[in-house]
Amino acid sequence: MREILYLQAINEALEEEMRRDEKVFIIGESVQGGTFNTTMGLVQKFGPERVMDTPISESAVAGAAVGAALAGYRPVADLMFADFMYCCADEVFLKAAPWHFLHGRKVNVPLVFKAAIGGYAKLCNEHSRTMEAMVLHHPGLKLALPSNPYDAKGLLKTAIRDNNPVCYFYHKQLLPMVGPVPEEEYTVPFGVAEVKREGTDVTVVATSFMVQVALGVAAELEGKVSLEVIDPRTLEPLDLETILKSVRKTGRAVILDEDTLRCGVGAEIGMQIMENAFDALDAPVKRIGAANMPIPGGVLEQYCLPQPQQLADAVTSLLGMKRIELKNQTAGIKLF
Amino acid sequence: MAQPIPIPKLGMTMKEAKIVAWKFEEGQWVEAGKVVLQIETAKVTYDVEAPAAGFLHIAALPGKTLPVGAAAGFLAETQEELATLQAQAPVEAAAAPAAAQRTAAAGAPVSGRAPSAAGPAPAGGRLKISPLARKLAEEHGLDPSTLVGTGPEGRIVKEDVERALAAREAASASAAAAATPAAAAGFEILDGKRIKARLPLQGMRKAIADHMVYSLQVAAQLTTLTELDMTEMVRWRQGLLEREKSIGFRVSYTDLLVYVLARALKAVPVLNASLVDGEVVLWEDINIGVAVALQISSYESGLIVPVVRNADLKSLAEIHSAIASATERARSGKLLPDDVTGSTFTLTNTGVFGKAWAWGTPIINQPESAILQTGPIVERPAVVAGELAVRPMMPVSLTFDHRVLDGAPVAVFLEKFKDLVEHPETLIV
Repeated sequence: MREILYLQAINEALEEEMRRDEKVFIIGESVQGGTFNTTMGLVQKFGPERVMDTPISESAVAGAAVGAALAGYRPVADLMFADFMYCCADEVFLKAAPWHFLHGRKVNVPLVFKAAIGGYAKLCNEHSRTMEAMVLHHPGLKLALPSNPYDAKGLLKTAIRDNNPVCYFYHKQLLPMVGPVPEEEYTVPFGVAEVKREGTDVTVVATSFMVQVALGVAAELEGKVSLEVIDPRTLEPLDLETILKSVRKTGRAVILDEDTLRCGVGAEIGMQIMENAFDALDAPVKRIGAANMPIPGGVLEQYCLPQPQQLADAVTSLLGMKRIELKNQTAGIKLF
Repeated sequence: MAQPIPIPKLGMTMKEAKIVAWKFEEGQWVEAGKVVLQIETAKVTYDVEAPAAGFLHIAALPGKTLPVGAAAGFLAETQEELATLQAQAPVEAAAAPAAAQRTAAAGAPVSGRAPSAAGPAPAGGRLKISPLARKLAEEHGLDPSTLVGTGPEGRIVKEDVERALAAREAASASAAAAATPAAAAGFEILDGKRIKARLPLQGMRKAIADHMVYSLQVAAQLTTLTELDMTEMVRWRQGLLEREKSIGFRVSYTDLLVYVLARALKAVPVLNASLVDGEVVLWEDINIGVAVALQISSYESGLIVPVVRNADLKSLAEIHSAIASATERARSGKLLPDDVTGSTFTLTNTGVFGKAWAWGTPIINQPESAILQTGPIVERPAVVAGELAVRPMMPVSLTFDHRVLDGAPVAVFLEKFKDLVEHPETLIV
């Protein structure tokens, strides 16, 4: 199979869906040029009416998208950095998210909030956030988190075709990742997790960039500890069954998530494991997330965001093993 | 409206009862009339039926003692009502009555278990064990408190249970190979010995255990032994059996002995007495308790003592029906405290168990002063009018409380009893 970049996969999905459905259009800041090159070349193919640049106002971008969606279009609102959702929070969290419900399900809001997430680029607190817990706390929003080029394309196509709002978060560190993507048409359904690596000792649940970190650590620990890595791919809807099946096999679980630890994805999934598979647990569930602090820039970032050694330490502590010092302290982080 | 499940008043003197076991889980649907709860008083175990249909909410866990009339639980009409009840009247670990019982059982001292040196040491009573390991241990009937945890912070984990199971299997396999090759694997080992079954000391078993030890502690008991010639009694009973149809029931020796015994006690009332607050009280009522054995399971037996009230005033038919109906209620778990309280003298007829057991040293049923044990009627040599003869003889053992009475009145009583048994025609005098 041919191999392409993660950012190319996103670009292909946008182009294919715009060709497939003329109601699909892109709106955002610098989408004609492209901050992360995901919309590269599209304005030349579809014109400025379907690849619409806006002034620097996320409220305007999100508000226009919500209005267009109500009017029957299928906008892809490019918010550039997910951190900027704070600027358009009202439109995203209090308009787009609940309106399908508040209008008695008579109204659909078919739009995608497309945004870049994540740290490890030393971009400081306002350009490094992951925003997952914030989205999950607002019922009505679906949340897709591709961890590789294949999922990046397949999940975006499903997101665009969904009749209600989807937050599609691509990770900045994954943009240059190369991976197999078929040329023929395909989509990745929501709510279907993927077992990225089979193992017997500990289940690691991770999304987006953290999947690559987990796989990196799993490879480092090979021969000593056998990790099973599960990528839910969408956190809403969540494929709990696949996670539980794995936990029933291993008896132990670690949730590795890049968002702030407190009230985060780790707490949510960990609790659901306990509620549904308590008797399967041979050890307490562990979670790893960003420290409960703003994300610092520069070299300090590594002391806030999850690091591979933390995952290795969590795993060995669950197994009652001696600490294993990873030979490669950036396993899974320095990918490209 | 949720329907409470009150503790029933089973007898005039009953004030409280202990929860023995719930027959349904928290939140389960219970049909009206189903046995939902087992309670126990000092005397009996009783099955409580659901007063209505509903979702069960358990308000009192096994082991808890409640006054008569108090709600042990509730039956909710709807799930919503159940949720309200659970919120209003929560019970610690209400969802797991079975687990609570298990904990109680595990907490009871097991004789002979040597404390493990490596020590699972549930110091605070709390066992550190993973949910998976606990489930696995339970599934295989393994007591988790015997395990040594090797997980983080000494937690018992799956691996520890698996290791113990493997060891158990190996031990029982080798034991089976050495002793009885046919024996299947899977025995629990205690102090190097294989266990066939564990029978919890609870309910009736516990009541009997406590009562017997108490009796031996408080009374000065001694036993006299004798033998009675049953020729006339055998003849009487034969005559009654031949007329079974017209009489309406099959007369047993127990019925006859209660009849005779009551008349003997009426003649010698000092054996129909109790020591109450430093006084010997002679009872006017002659209420004879009759020990009846109950088979509970293949290894568990029980014992109840139905009371024939005013046996000296009752006909043989009335005596028979009093014993039979109480025994029937005992077997169906419907025994009432009044069925088994208030006796003034007890008869235990071990003759019903076959020919082997002759005499014994029965233990007094407190607060009585004597107990009579009768053995099997066996043909034995006897001297009759200077000649050796073969006679149906019945061994008799009488235990009495030397605090209350001395040998002389006992001898008088035994003479009277012997006279009535050997010359039953005097009964009609």
